[in-house]
Amino acid sequence: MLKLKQLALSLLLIGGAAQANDDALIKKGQYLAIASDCTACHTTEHGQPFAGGKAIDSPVGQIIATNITPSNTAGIGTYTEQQFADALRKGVRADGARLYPAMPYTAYATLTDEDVHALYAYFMSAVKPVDRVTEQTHLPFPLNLRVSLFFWNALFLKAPGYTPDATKSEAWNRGRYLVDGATHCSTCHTPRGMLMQEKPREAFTGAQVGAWYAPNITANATSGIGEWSQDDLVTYLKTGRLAGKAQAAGSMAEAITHSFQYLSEDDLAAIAEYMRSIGDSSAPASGSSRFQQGNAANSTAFRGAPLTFPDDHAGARLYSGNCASCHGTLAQGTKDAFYPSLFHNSATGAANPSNLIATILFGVQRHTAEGDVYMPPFGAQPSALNHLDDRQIATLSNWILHNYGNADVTVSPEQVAESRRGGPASSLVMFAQAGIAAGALLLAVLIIVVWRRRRR
Amino acid sequence: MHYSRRRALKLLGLVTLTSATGQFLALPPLKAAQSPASPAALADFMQISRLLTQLDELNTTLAQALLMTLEQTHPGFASALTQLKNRLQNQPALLQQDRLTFSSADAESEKIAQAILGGWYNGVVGKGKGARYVTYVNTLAAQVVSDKLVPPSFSYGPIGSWAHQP
Amino acid sequence: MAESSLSPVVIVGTGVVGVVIAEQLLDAGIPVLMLEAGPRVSRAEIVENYRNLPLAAKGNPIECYPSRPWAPHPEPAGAGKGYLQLSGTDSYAQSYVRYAGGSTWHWAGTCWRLTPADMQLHSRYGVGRDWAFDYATLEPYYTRAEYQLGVCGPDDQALQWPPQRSKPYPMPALPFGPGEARFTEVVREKLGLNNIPTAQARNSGTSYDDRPACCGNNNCVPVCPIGAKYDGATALSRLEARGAVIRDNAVVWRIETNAQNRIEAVHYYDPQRQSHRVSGTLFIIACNGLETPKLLLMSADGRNPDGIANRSGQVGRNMMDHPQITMTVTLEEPYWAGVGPVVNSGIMETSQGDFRAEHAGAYFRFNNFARNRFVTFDALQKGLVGKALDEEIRRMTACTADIVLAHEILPDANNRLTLSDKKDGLGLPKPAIHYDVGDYVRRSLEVYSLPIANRIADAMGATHRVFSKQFNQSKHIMGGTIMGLDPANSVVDAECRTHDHPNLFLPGGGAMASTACGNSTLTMVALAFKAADAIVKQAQEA
Repeated sequence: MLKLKQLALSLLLIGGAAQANDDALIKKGQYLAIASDCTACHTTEHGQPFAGGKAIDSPVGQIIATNITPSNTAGIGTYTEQQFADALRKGVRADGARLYPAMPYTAYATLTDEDVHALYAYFMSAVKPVDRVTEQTHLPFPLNLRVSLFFWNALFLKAPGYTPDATKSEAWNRGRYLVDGATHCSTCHTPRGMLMQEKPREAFTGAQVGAWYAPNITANATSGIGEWSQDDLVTYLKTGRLAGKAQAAGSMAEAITHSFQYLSEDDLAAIAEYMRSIGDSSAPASGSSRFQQGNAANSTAFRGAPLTFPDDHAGARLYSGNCASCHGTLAQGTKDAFYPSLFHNSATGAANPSNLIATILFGVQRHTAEGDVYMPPFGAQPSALNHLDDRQIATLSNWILHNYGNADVTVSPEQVAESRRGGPASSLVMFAQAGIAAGALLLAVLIIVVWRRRRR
Repeated sequence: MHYSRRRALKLLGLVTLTSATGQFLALPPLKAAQSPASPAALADFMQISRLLTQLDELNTTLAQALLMTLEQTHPGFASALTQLKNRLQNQPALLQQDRLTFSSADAESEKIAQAILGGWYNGVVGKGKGARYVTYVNTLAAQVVSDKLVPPSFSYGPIGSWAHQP
Repeated sequence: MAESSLSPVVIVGTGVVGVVIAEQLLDAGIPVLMLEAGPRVSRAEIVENYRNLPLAAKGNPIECYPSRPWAPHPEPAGAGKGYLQLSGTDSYAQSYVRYAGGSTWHWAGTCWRLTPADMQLHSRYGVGRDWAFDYATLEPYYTRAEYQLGVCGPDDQALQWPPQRSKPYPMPALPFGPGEARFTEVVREKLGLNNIPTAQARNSGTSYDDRPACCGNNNCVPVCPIGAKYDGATALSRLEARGAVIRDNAVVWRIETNAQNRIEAVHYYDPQRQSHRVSGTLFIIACNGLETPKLLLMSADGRNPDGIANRSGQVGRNMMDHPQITMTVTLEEPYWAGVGPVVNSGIMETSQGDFRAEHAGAYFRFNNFARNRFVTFDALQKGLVGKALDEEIRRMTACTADIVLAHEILPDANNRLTLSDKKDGLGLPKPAIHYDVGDYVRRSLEVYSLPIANRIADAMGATHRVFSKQFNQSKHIMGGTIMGLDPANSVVDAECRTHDHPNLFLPGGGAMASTACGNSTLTMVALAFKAADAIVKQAQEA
């Protein structure tokens, strides 16, 4: 099939105009691949583009992203366009096996046939094939039975394609198309139910993503980003930060670095327009947002006594020695907010301290047109600027929260330890196994009962 | 690890609890050790400080710390302070010049004036072994150049930011 | 005595030379055991130490590194007070950091290379010694050193020092602050001199090697709060993650030879003065140019009565540094030193020339330390108050500057480190150093560097200038285990392997045969890479 296509293509080469069309199609496919951020999962840190091999930490175990280069032996080189579309929108591989929803096919299902066509053209012609097979994913029983996803998809997967809402503007529709589809925002920002399906009624109200928390991005002024203007949101998506409000880290920093910063102005505006129309039905009636917490004040440090002097001000001293250099003695950051202030900062102002803990543990890495943004980690990494233990990070976090952030929030060393491990584990595996065990037990009991009956 | 570092500073039991901003949060050990400065003494100290520095806005919590430390390091400070206040009130001409030129009879007052200024400008009170370190960041020496410089060990800004005049 | 026998390669010292070699060995699959005399400390602790220092002490970089009683290093107070027993016309009051990570904790990050001429003083000018190899041989190692440390420097060949380079700098040069920019302008227009960007191990705009980029803390000396400046401490966790074993608070006091006069083991004291023996097949002593010769001398035994590796008698001799004079100028126009890194530029061309047959060259650097903490005390002393005091502080902060004249020195066998009869906390002999900068340097000051400095001050429009009263130390300890082709007058060969003991290496500043005027660290690291290649080969052949 591929060979025929290549033949057709080479014939068309003679026709220059047709060539130009193909170039445009591939460019469109490339743009969509960037918007869909395929590279975030399918490219390892020092690996070839789309060659896979990256282990994605999920609450149920590690899922290895596959090689999606057009390699015939190790990638998708033999895929027809239909097979490509099915993988993308139905979560079905060419060999018929189901993909785990770590691949956000539930979102990509939104993609139109046209866009899938462009993506296919891009992946098949413009990506360099890499003949390296990736490792297999091994999730614990019963999740290793991919066939179970057949039922999961039946319950939770929608039909492919996008139907515009005629009552809304073109930009709004484009925004929704992107948000629900390529940029798959809800796969992180929407909380999930017991079977790990997104809960549509709570769309974009925030969810835990490993050690990080993808916050509420509805248009609600208290719980979400309602106080942001259209320009604010566009700026954030382009640069990864909004002075005096928020900055992207973790997976969002990756998304900004690899995807959002390259989207067109129009698309970013469309996304912003759509997001600003999403309400939050469960938001509190009043209160201040996570961007308004804290103020410049009161950091303490001893002068005249060494750092090891034991005292009640461990939090202040940890702050002074580890953080104050970049974030300022008043936690005010630098004048241009390149190093953000720690007050009026969603990471410290949120009700969920996950992002504060994860930032300290894992640091921040973003690369945008502004340049390299780098905060070193303070965990156990070899590159950690200082190795802080769970107790120290809890102490430091609490001090920051009480002085500059949401003073109602407290962090325990156990929370920090959990964050270090990659966040809370899901009980899905346990329940599934328990359920199966219970079922097996029931079956065993039945067999024994029947057998005994027959003996009588 | 006990290092007898910072010989110039008396440490343990020292109470100069200062915020990196110079803001106090609390001074529990100091309160336990001795009574805090009386409001009258603080008011006098603030007034004198304003006269000497010719600044109307002075950090009150830093003032409190300085006053307490001065009381600890200079015996008879309270009376010396009153004396200085009287001197400055009686001879307002003293403050009109660039330098404080006390007569030799007022050597005590001069020393106190210098100690107070040293505290505000350098963040250090006292000399030699008896010196106490009150603040590093919130000194007037740092404030006077804060439009151009940041105290060392604090970031100025991203690369290139220091190449441009603010 | 507790005994342990571990990995084949034992590295004494976890400074920049030790950690660079350790990484090369690990890359080659060779296990590594590192012994460090001092403690492992966190950066936050040092930063807070610095902030807590009284103002007068803030000017002395060693003060935020109080030494431990079992591993004293020279310092004004504490366990290391009076550690160095000094004699001679000039003082050799060096300082270095006996902590895990070594003296790069407090270096300025300056990474000048030697020039081809710097390595051939004897053949070109009839003074000093030639190196055992030429610049072309060392050049690839310089490149590796620059990429290892993360050195930023100019792309423009006219600004490079020297311009002979096989690869560009890993990162672009850091921008000048306003003071440096003005200085550059002034010396070029009025004196035709080039103030060029300092090649420095500092992350310029990018998070090289997973360390943050420089953000102008202006605190490089004594410590970079964020690790944007390379220091040996950043390597420690990375080495351990790759399997290196690092033992801190382990003071090596004896190198043990066997009947074949090969090194058999080293012995170290723990803080309780319990001795432990570590045997191995290959040994690297990299404890800086002062502690290394001291250790060799302390380890004298029957086979080596004058000290390990000392058949030439050169161990501890030829102690060198860059004798420096500081000129403090008061100016009419504001320069505002103090933004950006503390050493960011310098005039290097004055270090080269035929005059080196007669006297030393010199390098002039504009010190970029913020001035207000130095000048406030003086302003207060003047008895000023109120607005006048503010204005004086502001004026002096903006309008004073330090220009440092750094000279090269020739190796002199009489500039010598020996063991004194004083003992330190562990009962080990304190080092004694006799030092005289020599006429080669003094003549330079008289006829060359001082006149140039005065012309610079004139060009800057200085209204007042003050010079140091004597030569001060640059803390670049070199020469004590000098390199040469002839075992009769040198300690190590071209690979920093001792002539006397084939399984003992002494890479570092001690091996340098000439000093030139520029800071020595990059050359030391280049030597480390060169030695590492030989060590890897030797370890693999064994």
